[in-house]
Amino acid sequence: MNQARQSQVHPDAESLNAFIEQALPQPERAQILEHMAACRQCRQVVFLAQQAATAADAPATIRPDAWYRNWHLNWRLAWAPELAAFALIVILVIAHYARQRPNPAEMARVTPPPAPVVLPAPAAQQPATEPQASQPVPNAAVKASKKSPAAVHDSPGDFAPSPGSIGKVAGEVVGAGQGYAPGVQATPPVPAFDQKQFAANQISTEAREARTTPVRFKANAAEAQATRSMAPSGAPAIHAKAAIASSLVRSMPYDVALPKAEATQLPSGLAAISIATAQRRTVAIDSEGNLFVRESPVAMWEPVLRQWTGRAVRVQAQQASQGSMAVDAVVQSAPPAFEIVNDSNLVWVSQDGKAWKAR
Amino acid sequence: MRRSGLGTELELLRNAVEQALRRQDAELQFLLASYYIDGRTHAEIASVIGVHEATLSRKLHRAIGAIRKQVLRNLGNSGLSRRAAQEALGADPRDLDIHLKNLLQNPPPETFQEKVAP
Repeated sequence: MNQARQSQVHPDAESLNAFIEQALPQPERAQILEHMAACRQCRQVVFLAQQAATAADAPATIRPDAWYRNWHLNWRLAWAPELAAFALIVILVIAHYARQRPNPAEMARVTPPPAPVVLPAPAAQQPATEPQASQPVPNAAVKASKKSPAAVHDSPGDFAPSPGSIGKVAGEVVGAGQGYAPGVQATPPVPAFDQKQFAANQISTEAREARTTPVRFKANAAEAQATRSMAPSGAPAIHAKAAIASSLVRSMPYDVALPKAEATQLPSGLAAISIATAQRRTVAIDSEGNLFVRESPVAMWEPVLRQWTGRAVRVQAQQASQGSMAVDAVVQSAPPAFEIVNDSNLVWVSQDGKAWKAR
Repeated sequence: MRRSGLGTELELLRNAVEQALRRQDAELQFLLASYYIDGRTHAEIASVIGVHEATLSRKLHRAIGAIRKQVLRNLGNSGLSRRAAQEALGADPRDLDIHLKNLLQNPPPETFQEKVAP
């Protein structure tokens, strides 16, 4: 009977919710407390509702230290956008500098083309009368006959030693040391000297050497091989000749070994048809006969006032002979002397390449 | 003889406890029923009535003390001496024929009777 009466007087859900929210006035609150003190069902409903309300409020509550405890979890994904931004900046910087860099094609257009090599008229007509590479060169043969070997290799244009000159040097060396000079007997006969053909040959040879230096060394190698073949096999003179040839190459000054293409860039804008170097001083003649001199390979070309008649066509270095044995010593200690030859085969000489006087 | 005297003391003790429980207010009866009968924790009961757990614990402690005093007082009023009343409280509870659950579940006769009986 008691239970039945209690079921009839159960408070409604709104009153229970208001009781949980502490929103009921004191008289109604006391009545509900008095009922729940005797009604187990209402107590159970109230406690379940209170637990549900607590569980619903729990996720909404943010603990103040939650973000601090989990900061490393957020940083795991924070590097991705930063890395992408950094890569984008690097790409933009590279693209910017690549755009500012001048195009190689534009640089090639701005750079003036090199002056064309203009061969003089006698040189253009020369190929018909130019001697073969295997034959002895008259120029070298003549100079070898009237000058020392040191003077021959002192000038870059005349550096290529002919088989005759090497044979003479080898003969002198071998003759002084062992008394056996088979190379002297192997020297071919020197042809008769023709002055006009000599000048033409000189211009042609120097122009060819100006175009390509390796060819000249190839010719030297061919000449050395020819000289070697002329001597008896196994003879000590062969080694002596090879030693002399190698010593000539070793004693070659630095400025002689420079590329000839550099000598063609004269201030007149014309190509150099003849160049001579001694003691690092270089004298060059362009295709119009103008003379230029420079003190060193890295110095500027200086024009030389015309102190001769006609048109200068050739320049060569001339040094006093100190003895055929001291080749390197002569090259380093002899005073420089240049001589130029005009189109009338008249010769002017100079010590420094600037003051000229007729021989 | 001794047997009948013990039965009388237990009967007096049961009546004294029932009167003491019924004289408590509604909130204390709700706290005693929730804690001792439903087995709720201090936190759950405190969240329902909107007080702190320590406050609830103090209330329960005071209610137990008040009920004990009221039982002693009721035993004294029944003709037992103070010493006999103390010995009666030391009796084994299992010997008491008191159904506390029924005692607490039975509301006072005046509760909600006005609403129930229109």
